[in-house]
Amino acid sequence: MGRSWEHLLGGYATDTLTDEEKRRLFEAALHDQTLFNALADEEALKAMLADPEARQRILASLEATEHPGRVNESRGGWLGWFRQPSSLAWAGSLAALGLVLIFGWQMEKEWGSVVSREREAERSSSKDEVAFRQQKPSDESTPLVRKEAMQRTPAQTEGIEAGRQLTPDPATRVDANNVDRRKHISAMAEKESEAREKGQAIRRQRANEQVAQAPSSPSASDQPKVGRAVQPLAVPATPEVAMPDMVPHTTAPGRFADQAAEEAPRSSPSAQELFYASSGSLADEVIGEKKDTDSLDQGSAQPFRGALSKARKPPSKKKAFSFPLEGDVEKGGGVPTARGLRYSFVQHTKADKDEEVDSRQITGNWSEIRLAVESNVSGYLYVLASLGNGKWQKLSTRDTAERVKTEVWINVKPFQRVEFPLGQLTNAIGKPVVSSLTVLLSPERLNDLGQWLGSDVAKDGLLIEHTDGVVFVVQIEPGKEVPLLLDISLKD
Amino acid sequence: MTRDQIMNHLRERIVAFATSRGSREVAEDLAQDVFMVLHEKYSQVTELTELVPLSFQILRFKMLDLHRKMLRRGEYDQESIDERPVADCEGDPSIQVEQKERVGQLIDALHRLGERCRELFRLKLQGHTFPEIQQLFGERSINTIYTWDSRCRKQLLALMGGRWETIPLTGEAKKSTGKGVQ
Repeated sequence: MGRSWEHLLGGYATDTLTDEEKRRLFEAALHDQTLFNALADEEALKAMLADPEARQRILASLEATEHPGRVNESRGGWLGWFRQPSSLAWAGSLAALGLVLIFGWQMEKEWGSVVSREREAERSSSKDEVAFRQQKPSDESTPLVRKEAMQRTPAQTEGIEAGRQLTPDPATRVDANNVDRRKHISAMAEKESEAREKGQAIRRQRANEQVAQAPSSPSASDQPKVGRAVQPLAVPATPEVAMPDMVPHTTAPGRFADQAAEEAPRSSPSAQELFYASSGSLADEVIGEKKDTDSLDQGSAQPFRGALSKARKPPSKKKAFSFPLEGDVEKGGGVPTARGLRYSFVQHTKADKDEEVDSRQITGNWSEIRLAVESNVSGYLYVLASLGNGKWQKLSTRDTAERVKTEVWINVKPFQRVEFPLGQLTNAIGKPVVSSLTVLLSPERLNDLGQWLGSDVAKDGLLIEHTDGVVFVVQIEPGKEVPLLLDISLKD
Repeated sequence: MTRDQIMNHLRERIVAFATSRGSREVAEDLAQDVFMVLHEKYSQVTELTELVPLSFQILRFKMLDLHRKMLRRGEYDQESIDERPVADCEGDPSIQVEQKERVGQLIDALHRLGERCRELFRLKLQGHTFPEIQQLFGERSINTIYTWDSRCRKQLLALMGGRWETIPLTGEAKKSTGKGVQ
């Protein structure tokens, strides 16, 4: 019927209308025959419900069959409140706000200190940055490089900044005989390859952090896919192009172009910088590439086949923008490069992530630790453990249970990460049965391996840097005939 | 609105209502009987909210009385209703049985309603007004309660057969009387 009085009819029979409702209803009934008839019919129900006995009977019947979740006084409480749409909206808003606060708190907890350091660095270089931008307003990097710079995390840049510290690292041992040589190298490298170093270092840092799910065996061959796959495209067209713009906040742009040049003469480059300084040149070098056809036939190289395929390498035209090759260096026309190794102990955390830890922090089971080694050049990698009495055991990239007969060497590509589970060197309680490991990196396959093992000749001229559980070892004066030889202690 | 104005409106409505249930002649007689009672016994009642429901109550009693008279005396009952006292519902066992049956029917119908309708009816039987029910349900608008109650009432009325009580007059009384005789 759609008339307003109709809604009051139900209250007439039960005699629960208010005085105002009664007045409205009866006034309407006097002027509306339909309502009057309806009320007259309703009188029968009213008479029925007016009988206390009948009323009580009906009420008892209704209460007996009442649903447990019936409306009662508590319904006017929190449950009733919660059923209202507006209340649900409020509850949802509060929940969302809580999530945002928790998320923000977590972000602040993780990145707060890093961001504050970045801001300090940014303030310190703001003037130089402005000047630099004004001088080179057209320094716009390629979209991909810019994107990569935007994705760079503060932690990565923190690592870079740490690598740029001018004060010498106490853990760094410098060969006194090579100081002058190193300064010369660093001055040249700083001038011409600062931007490239930063880009490579950032990519390496990010690749290392993305290692989280890395398997314990030669699946390390996957690592270059993560870290190096984008390298060809990520290399800026010119070394000095737009790195300040690419990293506006985290790495103090002005320092790339201006300050770095000033800092270089008065500071020594770290092993980490030298390690990544060569990434633009020797990464593309063909030292090991010409051996590819040989190495791919070897069993040990099988797991790494395709890890850094030619398709992923920079196109040949890109080489025009990369650092000079070693051949150029020898001719004196390019940037000197240093062959280097980067190694770390990788531990799988409870958070299902891989974490690089210092060997001194490893107090528990070594069988769960992996040794991650990577070189900045292609070549042949030997990782051996001395068992005493002139006996050596090569480390496999596989677990001990899956150990198969392979070659003693592994043909690695530049920045190809190779992991060796240390479970193959531990006893029943997880302690290592050897005190150290010997690592050799040679541009060519060594036919006289015994000549180098136990020798200190190749250990001379090494620049070693310990940084956050990662050790960089750089051969100051690389020679193709002398492999990079390194001892890694397992009992610090 | 004065009592006379109310009475004028009431007479018109009562005649129209009774006519819809029987003949015009019977309807006018019914209205006259109702007004007689209102004048003689309830002359002090002047409020609209009291006078109207009172008239409904008297009208119902008169109709019941007429119905019983027709049943008892046959279709062409010549006896004036004025000579008969107002029926006493409480004293008639048959009426009590009928009411008990109707209450049973009402309970059955209530159990066939939805939970909300049952709850609404229960609250009304407990004496809660619509504003109070609104508070108990936690609804923001009382119109929501009105709408729910109206729908529930219609459902209940339908389950009860369309009428809370059947008081056949004249033609309908003839049929029911004839069936009873046969």
